[in-house]
Amino acid sequence: MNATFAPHAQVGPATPAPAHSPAISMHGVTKRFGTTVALDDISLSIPPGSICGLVGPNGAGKTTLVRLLLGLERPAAGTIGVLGLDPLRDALALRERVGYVPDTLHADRWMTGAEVLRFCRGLRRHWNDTLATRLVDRLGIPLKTRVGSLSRGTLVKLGLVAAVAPEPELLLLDEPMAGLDPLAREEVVETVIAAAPDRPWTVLFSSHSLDDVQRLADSIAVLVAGRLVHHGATDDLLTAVRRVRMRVDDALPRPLPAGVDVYGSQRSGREWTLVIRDGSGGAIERLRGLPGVEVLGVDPLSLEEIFKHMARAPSGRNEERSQS
Amino acid sequence: MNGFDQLVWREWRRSRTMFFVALGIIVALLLLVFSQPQTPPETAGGKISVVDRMAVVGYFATWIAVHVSVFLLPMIAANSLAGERADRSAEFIAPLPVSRSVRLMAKVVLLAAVAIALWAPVLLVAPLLGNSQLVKADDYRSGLGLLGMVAAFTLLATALAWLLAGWVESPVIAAVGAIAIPVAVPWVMFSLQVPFLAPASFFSLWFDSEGIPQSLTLLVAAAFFAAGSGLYVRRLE
Repeated sequence: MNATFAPHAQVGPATPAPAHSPAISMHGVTKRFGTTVALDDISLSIPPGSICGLVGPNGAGKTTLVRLLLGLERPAAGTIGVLGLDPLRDALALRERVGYVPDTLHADRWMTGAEVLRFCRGLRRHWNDTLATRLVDRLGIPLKTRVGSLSRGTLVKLGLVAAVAPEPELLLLDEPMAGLDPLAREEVVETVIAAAPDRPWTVLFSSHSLDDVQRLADSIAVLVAGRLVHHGATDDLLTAVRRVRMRVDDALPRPLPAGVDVYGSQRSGREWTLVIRDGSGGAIERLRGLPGVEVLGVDPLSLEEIFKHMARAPSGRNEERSQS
Repeated sequence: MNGFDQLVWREWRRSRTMFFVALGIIVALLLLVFSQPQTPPETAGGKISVVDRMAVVGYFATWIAVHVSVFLLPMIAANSLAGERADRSAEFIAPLPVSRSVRLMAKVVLLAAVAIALWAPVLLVAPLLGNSQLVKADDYRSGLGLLGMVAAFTLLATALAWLLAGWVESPVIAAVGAIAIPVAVPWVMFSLQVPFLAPASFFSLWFDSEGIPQSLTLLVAAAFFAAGSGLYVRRLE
């Protein structure tokens, strides 16, 4: 389907933030809803041009974090900088430079796809008609159909076009892949990759799909119960976390040697399995050096397995489960 | 203003069903009135001028439109503010680069346009009736008084809907409350014979010139409107 739009003033995008300053910086950010602490003392820095995957169980605070970045929520404590701007004080200037894709597009149900794009375009200073048309064609969005009649997958795609066509410096995606079939997810991921402009753009996307995160993201931030339990390069995480199987003659020494930090442990008779946060720093050697301990094997974990261990043991305390 | 036309268009699209329903009611009532025998009134010995006939027809039409506005304007006000939260379309606009005050202005423009569309005809027709041989001078004066009363009530109910809609999530509660409260309050005061505040009659607390003057009604309406606007602008979606 051909998507055509009337000529629109092609004003160049705003000057990007200096390359050395982070695209997103949060320092000690806390957000409460009544007595519930949604985010607790979050400090996070995402460099420009990077793609960060934000993962966490339901209710971990992912949506709240994204809304704080857009200035749609007011933090109880801490400071937030997005593209060098204050999301609350400089909300309009910031939103001109940010694209946002929610979990579902809440546009008025009577609007057609074309009307949604025309409406968004009218409120933007910059809008790339060619890009919008290309994406609409690529994603097969029916522009004459009303929002109320569109499937969830098509709504996400429409929201993605509306967010990407202004060629933002920062793209925020809040669980857009949730509930989508694998084909639709694939299309969304491909679109994010394909739509990336020549200049650096930063992407923060929250997702339950660790596959998508592993495929897209340079770095991963893990939120559990409102706390940021990990933020770092995805590859580093995959390299660092290790599963260690050991045979222990007597009881496992407590506390474990310094430098052996575990997400969790599991016991089956005399055999123990530890999931170590950082297996590259001599932790495994220290375990080997323990009296009565024989290391049987060291294995890598998938991102999904790592995430599950992080979610179960957010504070880093040893979580012992016995199968004996 | 960047995209202001899009915002006004959206407000119109959100409200146009109500507007067209109201228009249908006006036309239906008008047809009902003129389908009755001996209307317009056959008086003045058959010497009714074309202008007079038109004025009478216009009077009926505008009279109905004005009374419909009592319900329509509070409904549009409530739907404009609370409706977009109820259907979550406010979340669609919130991340876009447009300020809440500009969004509010678009709502005011639409509301004002509908109010003018409903009220302008009566203001145009009323002077014609003033010189008509069909209308007695006393009837004309009392008709203008009635018009003022309806205008004051409409303004008050619309401003109250504006305030309630900035507060509650449901446009239905906001609209019904806005129409009911200005009726219920004088009724309670009248029933209880509240000293100094009890109206002389059922409807006269807010708008009867013999009760609390209309200027006070306008003042209360302005306060409601300002408070509702403040609530809307300060809200984070």
